[in-house]
Amino acid sequence: MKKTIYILTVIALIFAFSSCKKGAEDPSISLLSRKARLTGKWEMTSGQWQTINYTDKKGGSLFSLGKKDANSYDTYIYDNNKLTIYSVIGDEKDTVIYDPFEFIMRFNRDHTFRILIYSKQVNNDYKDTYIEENWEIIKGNWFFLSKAGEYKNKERVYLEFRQDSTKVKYTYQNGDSDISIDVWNYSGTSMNYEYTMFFNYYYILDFLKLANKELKININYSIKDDNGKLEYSEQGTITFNKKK
Amino acid sequence: MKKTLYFLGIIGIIFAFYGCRKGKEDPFISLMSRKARLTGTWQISGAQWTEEVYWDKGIPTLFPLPSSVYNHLGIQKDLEVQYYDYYYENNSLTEIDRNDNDTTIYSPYTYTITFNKDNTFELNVYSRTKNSDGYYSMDSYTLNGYWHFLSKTEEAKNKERVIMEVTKYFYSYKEQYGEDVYSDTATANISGSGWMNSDIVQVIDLLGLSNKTLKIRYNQSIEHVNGDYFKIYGWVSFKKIEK
Repeated sequence: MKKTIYILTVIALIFAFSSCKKGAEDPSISLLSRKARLTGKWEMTSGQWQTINYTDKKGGSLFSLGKKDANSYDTYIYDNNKLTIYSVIGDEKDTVIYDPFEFIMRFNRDHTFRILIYSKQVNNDYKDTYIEENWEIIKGNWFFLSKAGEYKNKERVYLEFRQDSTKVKYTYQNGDSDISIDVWNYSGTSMNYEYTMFFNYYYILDFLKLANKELKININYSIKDDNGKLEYSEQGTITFNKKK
Repeated sequence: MKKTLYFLGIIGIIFAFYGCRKGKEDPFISLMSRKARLTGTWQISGAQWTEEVYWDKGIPTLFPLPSSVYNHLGIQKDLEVQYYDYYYENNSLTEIDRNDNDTTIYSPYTYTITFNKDNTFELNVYSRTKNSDGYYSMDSYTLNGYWHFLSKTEEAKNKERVIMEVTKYFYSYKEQYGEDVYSDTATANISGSGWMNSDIVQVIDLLGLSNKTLKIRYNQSIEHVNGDYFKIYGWVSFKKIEK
């Protein structure tokens, strides 16, 4: 009898913990809450994703900037601290490399976050060569989103920006350099739809996996018109490892 | 002794309910949860807000040039603050351009939001205005999506704010010149989450939320390091028309 109760208790506990699973690749059992697992410093370690802008014969989709002659594909591959972007627009192909590219996110217990992005790119423009370095720091508040449609409670996180600072440094072959600093501060909230359209100061992250040491972000995004025709899509995953 | 305990109990309950107050204009005591109060269809009943745009004449502040560009070109910025005041009364929204002393009236102006129990929402705005040449133009947009309460931050209490995540956007515009009609529509069906892109999201700040009235605070500031800014401040009130 005691043995049966013991087995039933263990089964009940397993079910209780597995119901905490939100993302498809979440650990089946975790003794830590999702907040405890998310809190800390995360570094991008690998990723692959693709964005597609679909041609709109009428002259540009709602979200694209102007008319495009053909569907455009951008494939992003992140590996070994290097981000490579392969772009295809019709017959034209282009490759851009950011080496190094560092992306670090810190989620704090008090619901504030900080994202640090550093990238370096060597440009060969005709005979001139210059190096472009970008430092971006984004600060704000993070929130778990509640259950909605197909999404489970706390499966996704909403990032609310409060400050976005960028420093860009160009170093030319002859040794000259230019530095520009750009800072946007955001405060309060607003219902004014027209302005939110043009400002990307909100992100929503969908967690495919949230373990104590590994975080995987699911990218599966699309914009369709009223006839179901695709205008824009993004697909892929990005993996982060927790840093001490 | 019993009387004292009874008295202390009542005070305790009052304080407990008072602690549920989030917005500054929330009811002192409410037996309903914030979700139960918010759920339903709301119709605009009043509004008063100001948009303040500090900009270089001819260049909107939303796309400012860095100061270094001005310095490099050796030109002085020609700055001014542009004010637009809005107020809603009797089914009409009035816009006053303070600098040019110009008034535009949107009539009718309708604005409804439905928050459903399953965390979906629908927002509808319709406005009609008479152009200077005497003809009419009509604008309307509908947003559908999911709503969520936001948790506590340094600036706001738990459930004081609501995020509206847009999954469907429909915009319609129509201009009428006598018998000639020009119209255009735009639709976007958005699904999933992307990577560092423009997820369409609105956040609303609930200044007052009772079972029958809702007041939203407009309070946003976007400031650029070079001094350019956009500000919006004021409020919009709604009455519940359907539970």
